[in-house]
Amino acid sequence: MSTSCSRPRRTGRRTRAIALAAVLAAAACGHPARYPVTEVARTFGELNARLAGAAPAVAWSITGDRLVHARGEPQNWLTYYGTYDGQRHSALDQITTANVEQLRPAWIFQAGVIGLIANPPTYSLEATPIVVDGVMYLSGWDGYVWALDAATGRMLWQYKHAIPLDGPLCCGNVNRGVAVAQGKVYVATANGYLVALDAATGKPTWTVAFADVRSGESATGAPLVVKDMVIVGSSGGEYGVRGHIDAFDLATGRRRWRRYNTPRPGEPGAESWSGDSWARGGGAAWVTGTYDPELDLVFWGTETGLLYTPVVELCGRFSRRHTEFRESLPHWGGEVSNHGLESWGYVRALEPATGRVARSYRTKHPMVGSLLTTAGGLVFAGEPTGEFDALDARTGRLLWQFQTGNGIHGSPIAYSVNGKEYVAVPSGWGGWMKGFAPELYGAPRRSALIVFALP
Amino acid sequence: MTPMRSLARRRRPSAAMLFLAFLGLTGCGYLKLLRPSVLKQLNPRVVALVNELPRVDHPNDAIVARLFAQDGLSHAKMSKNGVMRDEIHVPPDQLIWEPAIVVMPRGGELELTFQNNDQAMHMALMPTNGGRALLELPMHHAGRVRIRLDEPGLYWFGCPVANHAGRGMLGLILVSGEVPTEARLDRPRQRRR
Repeated sequence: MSTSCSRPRRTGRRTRAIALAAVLAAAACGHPARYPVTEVARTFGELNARLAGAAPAVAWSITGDRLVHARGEPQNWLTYYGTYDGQRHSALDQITTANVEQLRPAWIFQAGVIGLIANPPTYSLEATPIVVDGVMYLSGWDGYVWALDAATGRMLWQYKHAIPLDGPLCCGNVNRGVAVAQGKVYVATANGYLVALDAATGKPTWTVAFADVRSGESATGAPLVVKDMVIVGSSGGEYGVRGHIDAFDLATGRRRWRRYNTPRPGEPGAESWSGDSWARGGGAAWVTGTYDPELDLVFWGTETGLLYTPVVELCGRFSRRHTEFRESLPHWGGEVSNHGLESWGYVRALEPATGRVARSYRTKHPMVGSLLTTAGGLVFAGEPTGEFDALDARTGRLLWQFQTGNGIHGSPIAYSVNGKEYVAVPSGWGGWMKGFAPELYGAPRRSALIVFALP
Repeated sequence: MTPMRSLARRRRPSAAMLFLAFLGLTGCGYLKLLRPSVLKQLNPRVVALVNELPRVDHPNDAIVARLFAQDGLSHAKMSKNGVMRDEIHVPPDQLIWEPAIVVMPRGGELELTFQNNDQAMHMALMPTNGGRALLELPMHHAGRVRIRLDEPGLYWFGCPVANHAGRGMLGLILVSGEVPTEARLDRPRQRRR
């Protein structure tokens, strides 16, 4: 009896001891208080009062056939080069050599960095804007795409793809532009995805991976729509990748074909690649191609009346260097140095038949943006120090100049809305400055699209 | 059965209770330090480094020492519907996220629940495909955000209030794994670092 009476007392002591130990343990482990979930996240863009939220459904009527005849609608700028032949020429003639001196800014679109981005000193606005019936589609660095009212600059929607900090970007956190067709805006992201956005809302309709960040690939080029396909090239030649060009179905994103730019053993041209060098021979394809509808052929470069061209004059020393290949690490086979060497640039006119230099307009620094020629007899050129120039196409004489406030690394375009001609130029310095203009490495980084019109 | 033997039998459960209490305590991080994998890192260089880090720059010890510390990392759990989940706390008066690093086993959707135990307003600016997500976290409130990161890589998140991010409220999301098979290069397997 006595033992049975003492049992509950002992158990009680033990229970109290264990409870105390549990409380002490909980205190030692420091579990913080938990509150009921009351807050939900919103998209950062929703908090932007400038955002209209939707664009007119102008892009549905863009088909492969309409792109073939893009020259017939000079009010628009439908592909990367304006037309499939890659001329970057506008048939608009409202702004001429006679009135260009009256050209004034009509609107400015500014964008900036929020938080951390990959390769921060290199972001720049390198894109060619696309204009479809009064709506402009523009891509930026770090996965940004914007739809803007082409007459007022008002933002209609914004898309931001999440770009990792550790992507294998060789040179710049940049993007060269979008392609538009069949109600969608196609953009290649720095981490190797092709995203098809609804052109009216900016919401993704399909997303497909086409480049491998883990093996050193990225994507910076502007896609090109041909027939019912969107064609896009890879980036990453400096990382010893095997460059390729891919074509996807416009509507579904299903891959139609992939073409590698270095041949496997047994493929045509394989004899020019020794050993297994084909497997990491580079051959990236980030410069958008052109298309000849008569021959039904696409022309795509790998790495790299009168014909106007921007010129980079820059000396460099290349030294061979043997490095053992490691996937996703830079692999050049050498090192380029332009330290202390002189550089300058030209806007140069060549005779297409002979290649003879017809005239040259010398610039202080290498010219890294594309040129625009117009039927108004003008050549527009942006300089690395921010000057946006209009030259007389016949004489090469400087007629008008506007300081945009930051270096120009993008491509000017011309378009019109309601019969009024506009000239747009992206202004934003960045990219691989150490390589093409080392004297401007310390120049400030900004980002704006400036659009000009006559008063 | 003698009284002595029955007493001895009765003492056995208390040993079991102690063992259970020990098991309960092993949930505490301190005892996890006794694992061999942790003990073998206790070389003098690492210990000196860990002890030195907060003192290198005392005002910024949060970001210098804590962000990359091992105990600031968590592996998101995969739920049955394929969404990965994790929880992040904001402890009082420290301007840090706990954990500061969330690892996703692969690309996909991640649902994070934030518990703000601090007596200050915070926000979480998160990366996600489409546009960044912003979650407001008033003091002593909890919030939830679901983000989509399809691609492998290292992404950041931070508190955009005042300079909380610069003082320590910077976090990282690591998406592990490879890109989808169809995006990989057709070439022999290459050596990596």
